[in-house]
Amino acid sequence: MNAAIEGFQQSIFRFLPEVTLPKKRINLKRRLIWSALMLAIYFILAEIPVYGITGSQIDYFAGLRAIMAGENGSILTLGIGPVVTAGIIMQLLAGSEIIKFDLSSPKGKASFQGTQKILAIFLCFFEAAIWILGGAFGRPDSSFLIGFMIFQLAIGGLLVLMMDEVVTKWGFGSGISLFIAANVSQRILWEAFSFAKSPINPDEFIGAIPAFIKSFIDGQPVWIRGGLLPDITQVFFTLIVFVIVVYAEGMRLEIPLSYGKFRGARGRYPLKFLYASNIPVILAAALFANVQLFARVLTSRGINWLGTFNEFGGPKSGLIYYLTPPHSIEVLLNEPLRAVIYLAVFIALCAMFAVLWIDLTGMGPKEVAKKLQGSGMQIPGFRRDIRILEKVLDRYIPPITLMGGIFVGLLAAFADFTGALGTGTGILLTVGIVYRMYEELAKEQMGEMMPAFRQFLG
Amino acid sequence: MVKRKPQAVGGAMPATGAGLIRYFDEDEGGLKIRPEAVVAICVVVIVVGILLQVFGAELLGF
Repeated sequence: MNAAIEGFQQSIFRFLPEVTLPKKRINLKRRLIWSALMLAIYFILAEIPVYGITGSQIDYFAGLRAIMAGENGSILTLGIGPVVTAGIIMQLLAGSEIIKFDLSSPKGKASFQGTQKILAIFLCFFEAAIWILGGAFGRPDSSFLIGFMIFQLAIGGLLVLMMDEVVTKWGFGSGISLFIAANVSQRILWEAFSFAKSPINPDEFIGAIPAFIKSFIDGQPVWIRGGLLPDITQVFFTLIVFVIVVYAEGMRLEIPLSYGKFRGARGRYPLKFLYASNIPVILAAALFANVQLFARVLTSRGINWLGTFNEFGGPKSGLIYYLTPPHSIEVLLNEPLRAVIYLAVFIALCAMFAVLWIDLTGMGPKEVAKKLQGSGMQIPGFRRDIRILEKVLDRYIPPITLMGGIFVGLLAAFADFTGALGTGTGILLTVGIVYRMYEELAKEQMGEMMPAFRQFLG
Repeated sequence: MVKRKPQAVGGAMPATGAGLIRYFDEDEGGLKIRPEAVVAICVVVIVVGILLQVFGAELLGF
């Protein structure tokens, strides 16, 4: 990058809002308080409606709402959309080296981070404009009101951006993960236990479990309700997906190592089967959400290149139709072609994002070998040489990355097809997030109780 | 217990959250905001949002 562009960049970065870094390590209790506070604010904001909505609302994220967090019609309509989209774009740009960042230097990292933030801020306004100008919240006559509504949605996006930063810097875990998990959990609870009556059929409970109990008492247990209401079969599938994800999260391949300085000291380097964790799934899903968003804009202008929507706002035909998973077994059996195409595209994307992610975050064989070599580990029975470490790791890391990526993609799609509550992708992400939070919490607690351990735990 | 290896110096992983690569430990040189200020801004937005729902129609006239 030449000096002129760099100078220009720096002058823009100066105006970006940035949450201060804590001066010293914050203890676990205070960090949990910060996270809880942000979560509470998130839930309240998701209940504040946008001012100026006329008529019925269409959710432009539709089937992907669970993953994008937020609540349609509220200040947080955009949810984590702008932040995640900015992340994907930056990853693709940096991964394909269209823009080069030196991610090993602090300056390069700051530049990457700043550029990502500019993009996220731009996307807040851009997606807000798509939402309002596309007519999702009705078409008001006053152009002032249109502008004001765009402003409200953009503010919501910016607040999520800042809240995420507060959680990541001052709180526990990452804000984005926290908001996704909170949103999906809320949805699962509602769909499973809600005693509210269905707006279409006032005799039916919305919640799957109350509805099943009622039908059981009436003497005619209903296992599958069909339509849009959740049923008891879907509750079982939710549990199955939950168990599979927890099991898969714990799957590890252990590479035996020995410690060069002390004879007989042995260790193992665990490679997680889900080496790129659930990251490929969220990126693929967010990409689909964006394709859908663009299709909405195009159709509202009468262009049907990406497909068309039905009167309820759901996809009806074209590319976007094939990029939306069939959300029940019923639909799956009626439209096998749609399921096959969705599966193929989704898994291919997951595999691609998994490989890209490992590459960009320095989790590849070369970097891991360097790290192990630096800590004095070696492969038992071989001489201490980084090339040997690299060769052994190279045999495992690329295949495990690919397999892990394909596996999470397959699992998310399977869960979606069964109509699991909170959407399959949503459960997959939430279980993964909560599982990792739990791991992190256990680690932190250990570190607080025995400070000497901290350096070993990293 | 499985022997854990110490973290190599300089090999710190970037802070990752839900698939985003972020470097939140770097100073970006931007406008500094305290986390308390973020809370305050959110509270202001919540209050204004509620007021708009109640008095908006009279205040703005649409």
